[in-house]
Amino acid sequence: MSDDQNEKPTLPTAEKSHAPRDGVAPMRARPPRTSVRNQPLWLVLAACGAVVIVLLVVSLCSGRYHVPVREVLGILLQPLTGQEATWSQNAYNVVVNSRLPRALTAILVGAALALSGASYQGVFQNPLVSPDILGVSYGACVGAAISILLYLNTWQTQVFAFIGGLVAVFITVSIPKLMHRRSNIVMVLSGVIVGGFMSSVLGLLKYVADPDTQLAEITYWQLGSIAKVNYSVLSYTVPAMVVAGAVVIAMRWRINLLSLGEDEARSLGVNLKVERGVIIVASTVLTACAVSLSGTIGWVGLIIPHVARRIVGEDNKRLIPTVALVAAAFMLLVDLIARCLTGFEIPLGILTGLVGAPIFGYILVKQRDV
Amino acid sequence: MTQLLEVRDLAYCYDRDQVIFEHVSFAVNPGEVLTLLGPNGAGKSTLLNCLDALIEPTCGDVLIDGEPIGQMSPRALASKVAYVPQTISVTYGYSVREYLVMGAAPRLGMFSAPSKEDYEKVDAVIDQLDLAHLSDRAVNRLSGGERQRVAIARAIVQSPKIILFDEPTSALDYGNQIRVMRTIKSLAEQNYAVVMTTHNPDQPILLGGKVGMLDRDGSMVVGEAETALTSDKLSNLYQTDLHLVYVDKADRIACVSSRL
Repeated sequence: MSDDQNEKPTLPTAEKSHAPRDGVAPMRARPPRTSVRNQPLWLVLAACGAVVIVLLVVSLCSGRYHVPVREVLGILLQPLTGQEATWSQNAYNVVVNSRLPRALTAILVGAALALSGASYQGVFQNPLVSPDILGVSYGACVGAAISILLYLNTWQTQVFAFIGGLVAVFITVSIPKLMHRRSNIVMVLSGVIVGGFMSSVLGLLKYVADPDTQLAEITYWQLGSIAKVNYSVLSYTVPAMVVAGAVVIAMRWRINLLSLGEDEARSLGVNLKVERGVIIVASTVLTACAVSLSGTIGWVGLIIPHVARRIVGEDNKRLIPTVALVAAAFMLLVDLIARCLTGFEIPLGILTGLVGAPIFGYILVKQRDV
Repeated sequence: MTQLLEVRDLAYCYDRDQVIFEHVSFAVNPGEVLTLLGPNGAGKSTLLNCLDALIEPTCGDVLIDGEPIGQMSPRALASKVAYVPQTISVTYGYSVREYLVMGAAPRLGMFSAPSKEDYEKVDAVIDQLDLAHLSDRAVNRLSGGERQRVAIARAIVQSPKIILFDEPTSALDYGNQIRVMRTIKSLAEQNYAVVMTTHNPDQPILLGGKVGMLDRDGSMVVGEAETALTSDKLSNLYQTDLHLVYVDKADRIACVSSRL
């Protein structure tokens, strides 16, 4: 081979080049830094993190038994400060054993659903998909219901929820492929088919469930609640959630590549099967873990990525970490409303639907080309 | 001598009896342009897709630096070949700068993100191709001509040896067509090997270099554009009367049709 062939091509020059002349760097016209989209990511994340912390403290204070902010902070910081307890045992129990695991669950479930929603939307190049629209949540719910019928433990329920979610997403993705049509709407319709089917399977499982024990538990999954979560349940789920979340966050820039479509991604050197597979599995693990903690909570995985896009823009490098914090704040707020709005507790799935549907309608009207 | 891009006896069939092209052989080396010319539906895009392993040919070999592309990893292939599609259709509104930095993907691992150096390379290409005014705009809000220039810029960021263009001017007005053709010619002058598909016989005349005429019967004739293109061959290829005439004012040969 000649030397000529080994040589890497050099950059071509444009007809009207703005290359530096006489060592003077050219001025690049950029809009002034006024919007949040142009702020450094760490600043956006710090602001979102601060909102989450404030909502966490408010959540720990609020409820039928009010605990003052000073006591809540004292209880939370006691392991660090070694401060002598100036609060009642009741206050300690309410904050540490009742509200804290619940608030942590709200944060984890929100972050997990929104992370999986944002990555599904990127990987499937479709802003209309989410864990519930792809049928993943229903599939995970069917898996969990089967494990309840088989009297399995929490860890096994999680595995069943994951398998159910994976089966659902596989069927949803396969239908457009079989039809040789990959439009956004076909994917959504495919999700509706799978969701409807899974919903019927769930109905069948409820029909055969023991009405005294199993039926109530399955219904609890369907409506979505985090009232029963404790540290023991969390300890089973958190490791899988953290690993799957870390994978999605680490691959967030690759989601940009995958969102260009199969041919473009492949021509950029993306190993489509491996990279898309890893992200889909990680997102499904996140959804299954969320479902195994809280049952099906709709809308979070769909609307929060859209809300976050309006804050930080569409680049997944910025979007993915932001989406987790925005969703955590949203779920804390929804849980707070669910506990404090009325004398009884409203199921979370109902509240997210009441809040999420109008927000999504508003976003659709504002962004007609979604 | 090892060729940069070598195609040996390539064939693609949809079914056993539906041949799209067969016995296609050619080579392209640094600084050369090969224009794949043919009517709509002749299989030009299919052939181009075979060169980037986007489609697997029915038989034959595509070799880059002597290595079959089927044996190359996606990253190794992407570091040598960049593909510019007919039109870029992006679902999300990435800024042009973010879109361009995706060209650095072949140099990055599965868990990596672009470095400062990658962004510096993007800024250099933005300056070279005069795209500074577009750099912060959403790529899905650009006009057809702007998108095509951005797609070419991303191919340059990819730092390949070969750039494949799939009908890069098909959706552009005449002015933008000429501007894109100039950019393509300058890429060849900068030592890139260029393979481009088109159905416009004027384009291989403008670009010079080699031309491959792909007929609907699946055969392809390759030659130097200056000698291989004749009025008879083009008329036969497009099934209509076409004439190669010298245009004094433009100082070049042009392809014109007979009166309607």
